[in-house]
This record gives sequence, C-alpha cells and structure tokens, in this order.
Amino acid sequence: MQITLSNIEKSFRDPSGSARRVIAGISADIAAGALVAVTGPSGAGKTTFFNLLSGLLLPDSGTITAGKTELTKLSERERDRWRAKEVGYIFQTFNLLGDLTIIDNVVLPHILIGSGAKGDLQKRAVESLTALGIGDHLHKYPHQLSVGQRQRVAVARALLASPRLIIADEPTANLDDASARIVADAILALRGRSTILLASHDGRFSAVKPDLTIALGGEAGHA
Amino acid sequence: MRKMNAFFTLVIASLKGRLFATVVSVLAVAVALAVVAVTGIVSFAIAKQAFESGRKYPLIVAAEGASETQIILSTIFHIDKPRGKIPFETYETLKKDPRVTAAFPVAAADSVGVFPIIGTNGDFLKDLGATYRGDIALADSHDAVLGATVARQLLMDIGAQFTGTHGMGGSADAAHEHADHTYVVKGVLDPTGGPEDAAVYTSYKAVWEIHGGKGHKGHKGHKGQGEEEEEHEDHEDHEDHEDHEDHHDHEADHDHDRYHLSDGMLTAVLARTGNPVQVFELQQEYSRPGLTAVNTAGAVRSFQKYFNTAGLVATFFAGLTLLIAAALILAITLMALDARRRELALLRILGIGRGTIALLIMLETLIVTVAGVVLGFLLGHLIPALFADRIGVLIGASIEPWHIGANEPAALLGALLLGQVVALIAMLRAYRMNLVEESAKN
Ligand SMILES: Nc1ncnc2c1ncn2[C@@H]1O[C@H](COP(=O)(O)OP(=O)(O)O)[C@@H](O)[C@H]1O
Ligand SMILES: [Mg+2]
Repeated sequence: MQITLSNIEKSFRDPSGSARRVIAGISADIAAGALVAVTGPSGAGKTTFFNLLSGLLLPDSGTITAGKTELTKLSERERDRWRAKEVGYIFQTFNLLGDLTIIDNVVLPHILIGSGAKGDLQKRAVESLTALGIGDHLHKYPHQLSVGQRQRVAVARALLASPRLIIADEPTANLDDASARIVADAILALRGRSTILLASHDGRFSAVKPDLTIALGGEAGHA
Repeated sequence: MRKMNAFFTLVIASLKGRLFATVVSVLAVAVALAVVAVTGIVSFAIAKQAFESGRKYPLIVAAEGASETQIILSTIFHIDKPRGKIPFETYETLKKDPRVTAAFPVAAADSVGVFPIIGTNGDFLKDLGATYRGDIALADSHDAVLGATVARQLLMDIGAQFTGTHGMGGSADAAHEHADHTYVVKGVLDPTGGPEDAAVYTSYKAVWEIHGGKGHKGHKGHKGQGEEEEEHEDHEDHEDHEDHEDHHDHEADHDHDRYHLSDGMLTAVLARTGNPVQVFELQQEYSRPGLTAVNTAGAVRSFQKYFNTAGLVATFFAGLTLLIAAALILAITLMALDARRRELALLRILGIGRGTIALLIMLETLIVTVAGVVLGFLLGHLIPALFADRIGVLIGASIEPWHIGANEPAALLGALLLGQVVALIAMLRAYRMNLVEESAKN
C-alpha cells in the first residue's frame, strides 16, 4: 500500500491546558511494500504517528492518503472499517483479550470485522500459530502463556488477514530472546508484500536496512 | 449470523471472566422475582380456600375468646391451634335447627407427624364431595380416614395403624404420644386441592376418649389422661381418678388443657343455612357467653383485606430488592467497564466500531437481567412445585405452583425494563468512552 503524508500536524493539550505539538509538519511518500523505520526517543511521538496512520486519530492539519483512500476525509466509522480491512497493528503491551482462548483471540476479532469465512480463518490461524510455536496452546488463556508467547499470538492475529499495512510499535520490547527472534522474523518476512511501519530499539531490526526512515522528536516543541 | 456467534462468544466469555459478579447480579434479580411469584402462589391458594370455605361453611361456631381469623385458621386451614371448647349440644341444636341445612362437628387436638387429626363424623367427609377408597363413615372411634397427601407422605394405606401425638403437629408442645389409642386407616381420600389433603380424620368420639371423659370407659385397656382436665372442669366421673396414670409434667402447664377435649366438648361446629339472611340470624343467636359465631364469608373478606395488604408489603419489598439489584448491576457493569478500558481500546484498534462495543456492553447487561428474570420465574414456581406438599401443610391450602399471581407479570416486566435501562446507561457510557486517546497514552 502506497501512503502519502502531506504536512501532518498533531498537538495534545497537557493537564495544564497548554498545547504541545507532538507531530510537527511531517510529509513523506511511502512506497507499497516498503519497510519504514520510525525513530525517536521515548515521548517523541511514535505511537501518536502510528495512531494517525491507522486512522485511530485525525491530524489537526495535513492529509494522509493510503492507496486511493484519503484517510483524513473519512468519518470515524469509515476509518474503523478501513483499519479493520487494511491494518495489522502490533503493539508493545495489552495485546490480547484475557477472557478469550488463544485461538479465539486470533479468529474472533476477524469474524467480527468480517475478514472472511470462519472455517478459513480458523484454519489459517492454526497454521500461523503452529508456525509461531503456539500450536500446543490453542485452547489456553493468555494468562497461561509467557509474555513472549502472547506477543507471538498478537502477531498471528495482526497478520491473519494479510493486511496491506503493518504497524509494529516496539513489537519485541520486553520479550525473551527466542520470542523476539520469532516475532521479528515474522514481521520482516512480509517485507515487499505489505508496507511495514516499525518503531523499535531492538538490534535485530537494525541489522536490516529500511527503505525509509522517519525521525521524530527533532521539531517537537511548545506551540 | 457468524458475526452474531462471534459476538455472543465474546459476551459470554466476558461474563464468565467475572463469574462472581455475574452470578451475584443474576441471583439478586432472581430472588426478588421469586419472592413475588411465591407470594402470588400462596396468597392465591389461601384466597381460593378462604372463599371456598365461606361458600361451604357460612357459619362457624367456636369458643369465646378467639378472634374470627384464629377460628378460620384453626377450623378451615388447620394451621392455628384451636382455642377453647364448646359443648357438644351446640352441634346438636344447630343440626336440629330448621334453618340449618347441614352441620358438622369439629374436635381437633392431636396430630400425626405434621398433619392435624380432625375429629368429626362421616357426614362431614361425605359432604366434602371428594372421591375416595375404602370406607369414610368413621363408625368406630378407632377408624381413621387420610387425606391424599398424608397417605402419600406417611406411606400409609387402608389397614395401616398409627397413633396420634398430643398438640398440633410440629410444635414444641407436641409433648407426648397417645400410644394407647391406635387408629386404623379405613379410607383414603383422593386429592381435592383443599386442606383435607393434608389432614387425618377420625371420629370426634376418639378425641373424647383419648383426652379423658366417659367415652374411654367403654374401651378396655384404655387409660384416659384427663387428670388435669378435672382440676379445671366439673366432671361427674371423679371416681376414675385412681385409674389414671400420673402425668405430672402436665400439671405445671396451665395453658395446656385448652387443647384437651374431654367428653362432650368440640372445638367448633361448621354449619350451612338455607339462605344468607339466616346466617346473620344464627350469628346473632349463637354469639353468647362461651361461644363465638363467625359469619365466614364476612370474616374472610376482612381477612382477605389483611392478606392483600400483606401481599402488597411483600411485593413492595420485592420491588425494592429489584431496584437494589438494578443499582448493583449498574455499578458492577460500570466498574467492569472501567476495568476493561484497555481491552475495549484493543477492540477499537482492531477496527471494531464504537457502536459494536456499546452493543457488546448492552448485551452483557441484558443477558444478566434476562437470566435473572428467567431464573426468578423458574425458582418462584419450581420451588413451590417441589415443596407443594410441605407448603400445603404450612398454609393449610393446596397451592398451584404454576399459578401466575396478580403482581408477577408486572414484576417480570419491571425487571426486564429496569435491565433495559441499566443496559442503555452502560451502553451510552461505553459509546462515549474515548478509548483511542486512552490507548495512545500507553
Ligand atoms: N491522548 C493524549 N493526550 C495527551 N497527550 C498525549 C496523548 N497521547 C500522547 N500524548 C503525549 O504525546 C507525546 C508523545 O507520546 P507518544 O506518541 O506515545 O510517544 P512515543 O510513542 O514516541 O513514546 C507524549 O508526551 C505523550 O504524553
Ligand atoms: Mg510509544
């Protein structure tokens, strides 16, 4: 998926009431299938940037166009649908629903957002979970798994419907080595097929040269 | 359809995830509704029985000193202790009275298990109009006829023998057994739905014999126990005294002798007249020292008023419980909603809309209330169905476990409506949660 950012800005009001500009006039052309590294220190606005690109938030100004869709023109409901269809979102913590089994965590959201037929989703979920080393834990609950195993489940869920845009926000932070390797490999394997936006301090990713780097934090300041 | 399944799986999983809160919520609704149902069933059974008794026995003559309600409770429902005694001749004169079309003697004092033994005569049993097996003439003082529930519960049939216990069943003063007077079951009534199902009938003469007096002299080997009676009453058979066994334990209890029926005494006479005016006439005539004459239909009406008020009070408290249950469910739901912000934010990130999440929350709450309503209805009728016999003995009237009381539909509907309101509040709250901002902060 080709993505064009044109001068997007986003500010938040902090508790004292003054506005703080987190994203300050970013423009970029992201080619379909590109691997984009989003860098910057903690608090630089990486998560905010991802939320804008996934349509969870709207920028204060500027436009985001993804493929033929101008995201910044859509209503919340339309952005929800777009995100459901196009985005696989992997983030650092709180990735799974505690009351659902592992297999349900992967399949159920996709049924709810209409990603496909249940039987097909189920089959692909089992394959994917097995490939990620979770095949023996399909009917366990998240609390019965390690943090690393849970993140692998989140990856399986994010990638199940072959999204054209993958957003990975610190996907390997706090993971054991084996899990981090599996997660990193699973994400990087999709390079070329899906556009990947990645924020990570993990050396496993720095070994791979990104097609584009977006550095955040430099311009951020009080508006 | 598949989406609906997934939706329900999510809802059920979340309810199961906080099982304790869910169970407490469901039970709170269920208990409130069950109370309404049971109250309706019991009051309907009592009202029906009371109405029936007013029609069947428009005049009851009992001893002075008891209230009309007490008299109806003890003679018709067999649930209060009979208070005091009246002479047998009251029955004889009423029976001879041309205005009286039917009169029946009642002499109650003993019980077998929880069931009262009613001393009466064969006419009374025939007048019930119930079908029966065996013989219900009560010709001999050892003959007994069982109500259907008694026969079933005590596993007795024609030919079985038993002895009575002094005092009304179950009470603390059911002190001693009249082991010396053995009854033989001669007949068993078919179920009638009335208090007779839970009663044992014998001849009033049997009651006299057991509690002392001349009747017992005719029976060899019978030892009367009327010793203390004679301290309070003038009896001509003082010479019997030395035949009696000692029952010192009784002498301490002066109240006790009220339930002892000696020769020639009854607890009540039930009567029917040609027309209602004659009930009033007879009531006037028989309201004299030592006697109370009750116009049953009239008494039942005021009794009914009292009972309706009691039912209303019970319903009021059930309504209050329901409101508390609703508030509880709302509090639990909102608390759970807050605790689940992150999970709900996750759903939003996955592309699930605000409306869908709000619907999810609404459905969770609705399921709890509907489950409470269904369980309440079932408990409110299944418990009476399971314990129909016991409740029947307790209230002196057979219940219809599946009867829907006057207040029940309103209570069920009210609970559903309250549930809907709570669900809508929770839904609105969920809809307006700013989950994305929330997730952006982590
Ligand atoms: N919803 C919000 N409301 C107010 N401030 C926010 C909100 N989301 C993020 N911020 C602020 O924006 C800044 C950037 O945050 P974030 O995008 O999470 O940075 P990063 O992911 O690079 O650590 C932080 O100072 C953070 O406190
Ligand atoms: Mg972040």
